[in-house]
Amino acid sequence: MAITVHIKPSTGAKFSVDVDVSQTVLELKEKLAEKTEIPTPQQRLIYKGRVLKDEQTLQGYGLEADHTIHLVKGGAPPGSTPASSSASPAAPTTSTNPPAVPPGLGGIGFGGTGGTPNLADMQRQMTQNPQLMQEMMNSPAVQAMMNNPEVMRTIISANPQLREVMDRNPELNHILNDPATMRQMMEAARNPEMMREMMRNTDRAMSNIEAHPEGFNMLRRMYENVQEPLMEAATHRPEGQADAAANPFAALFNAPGQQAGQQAPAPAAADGGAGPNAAPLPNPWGPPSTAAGAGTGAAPLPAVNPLAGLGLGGLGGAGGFDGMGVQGGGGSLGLGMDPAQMAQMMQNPMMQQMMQQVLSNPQVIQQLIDSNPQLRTMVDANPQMRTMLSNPEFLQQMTRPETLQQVAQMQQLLGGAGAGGAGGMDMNALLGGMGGLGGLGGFGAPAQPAGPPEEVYATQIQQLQDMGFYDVQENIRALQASHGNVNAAVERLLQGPG
Amino acid sequence: MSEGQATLLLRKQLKELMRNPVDGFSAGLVDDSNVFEWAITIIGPPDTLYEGGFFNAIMSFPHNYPNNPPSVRFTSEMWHPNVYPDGRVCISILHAPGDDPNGYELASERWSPVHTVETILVSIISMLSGPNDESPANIDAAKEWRDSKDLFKKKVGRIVRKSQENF
Repeated sequence: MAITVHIKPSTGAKFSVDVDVSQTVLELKEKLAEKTEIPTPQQRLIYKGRVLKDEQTLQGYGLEADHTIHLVKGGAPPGSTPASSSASPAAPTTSTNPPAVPPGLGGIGFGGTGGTPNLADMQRQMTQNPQLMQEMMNSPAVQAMMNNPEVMRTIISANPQLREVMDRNPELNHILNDPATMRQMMEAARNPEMMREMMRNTDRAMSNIEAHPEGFNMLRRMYENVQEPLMEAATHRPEGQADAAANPFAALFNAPGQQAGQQAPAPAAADGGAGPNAAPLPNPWGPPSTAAGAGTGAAPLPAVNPLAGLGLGGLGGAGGFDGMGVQGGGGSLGLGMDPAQMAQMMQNPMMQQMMQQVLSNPQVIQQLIDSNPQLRTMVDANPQMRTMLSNPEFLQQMTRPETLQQVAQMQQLLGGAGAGGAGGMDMNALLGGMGGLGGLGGFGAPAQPAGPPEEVYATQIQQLQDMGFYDVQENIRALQASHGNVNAAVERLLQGPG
Repeated sequence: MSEGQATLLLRKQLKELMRNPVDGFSAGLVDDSNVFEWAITIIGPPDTLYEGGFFNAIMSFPHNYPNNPPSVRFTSEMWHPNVYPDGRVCISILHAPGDDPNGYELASERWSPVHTVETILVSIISMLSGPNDESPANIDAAKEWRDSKDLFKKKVGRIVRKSQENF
């Protein structure tokens, strides 16, 4: 039976539509979507003091001819205000269509993991650098995802292992399905302040629990029941499926394979090269990415961001027990980087591959040097270093994990001196590493602990002697003070004994 | 006889509201055979903390309506200085006519038979936009409203979200 009813939008003029009372509310909404341009998930129809549910028929609500239905728009487009972002999660649940995962998400996502070999480490890195975290969270891809918990849920439920875990552990299922929890998690992830606060709370709760007799055992059980299965599922590769994409989380946690490496540039392109992601960073790798022929070097970096964000968003709730508890009130903004982290990063095949690509291309190095004032000064002061850096063989050597590890440790000793300014953790450390490498190869680095100075500075002492500085002890002192830089040592010697 | 008058009056108001609804709320009968129990949905007024929420309430009319006021009780969770923890709305126009024994309210502020469903709900909507903490029904909420607005806002945000998830 077709009747005419009136629709009264919260904004705008009343209008009439013809409906069949046997239609469902959703069908009516679809009709209204054409007229009002309010998408169906955002429509709220209210009639006779009730909010109409999509799957019910109009007849079920006793809709009568000539009556009026209120139409209210349920929240602005996601992401602007807290109110609206809270409204959006309700929307997808009423939609009949499965939410669309942004195209390429699977690809990025899960394929091209850059950063770190395991989740706990990833979390630690993230939590230690709120800025990086924020940037990740603000990147459009991650935001789109974050603002739509349904996507998250789809991702999670698309993974058979994870789903199995969730089936086995209803509580976990509840956490991951609860829009409020998800929202809180996302908000927290986006806002470093809140993140820290949450961690403080968790920390306090943890210490309370630990203080309680049996509390620690409970915690351990919790860890065993929640984190273990999750990690197991996440890192477990399904049998007979060679494709890493089949278990995205495996790719996320394990060092990525060849395929991952190939996929990595995709998100960078999607983000517009060194787009919104990389832009705010004083990123020394940036220029190469815009330069023709050098794109490969920079591409993987932006890729790190969406992924890392994803890992946190998706699993933060459960995986978080470890990271958050351990972290406590942490969140140091320090530039100095944990050598272990650095080493891990360097050992990551993907990172190595990237480094190799970068370093085997002298042009890229040149650009890198030119784009960084500090590095340039250093190179200009030491012509040998330039020669060194343009020697592919030497660079190849530098990329050896052992070397990098040493450098990273040295870097730590130096307190992250190599690069200044607050920026992306990775980049600074990496750059510092580069600077350190130069010093190491050339003239002996400041912190180099090697043998007696006569041996370490043998060549420089010889040079100085050739120049007419005959006092060996004086020369050594000057060289030590100038960290092995002959020019600086000469200047020092000429200024006379201080 | 008076019951017949109440029924007649309520039916008339219901019919009028169906045809020409008022912004901000929707009203219908809980059960079509009982005109004394109304189901109300109040749309959280824009530009207030309650914006975006859809709050359900039951409006019960006495059989001697309109001589005595109806009572309004939120069935959705509510956090407001003028709503009792059990959901009952406490506004002066819903108080039985006559002088306030406590001397707070003037007779003119209390129930009068000229009030209709529409005027009552408009009063409730205005109550949502501007709580009156002079004679609070929910003391905790009133204290929070006065002393720690942030906490109040947070709680209201929570009930707004809850109200969105209930359908």
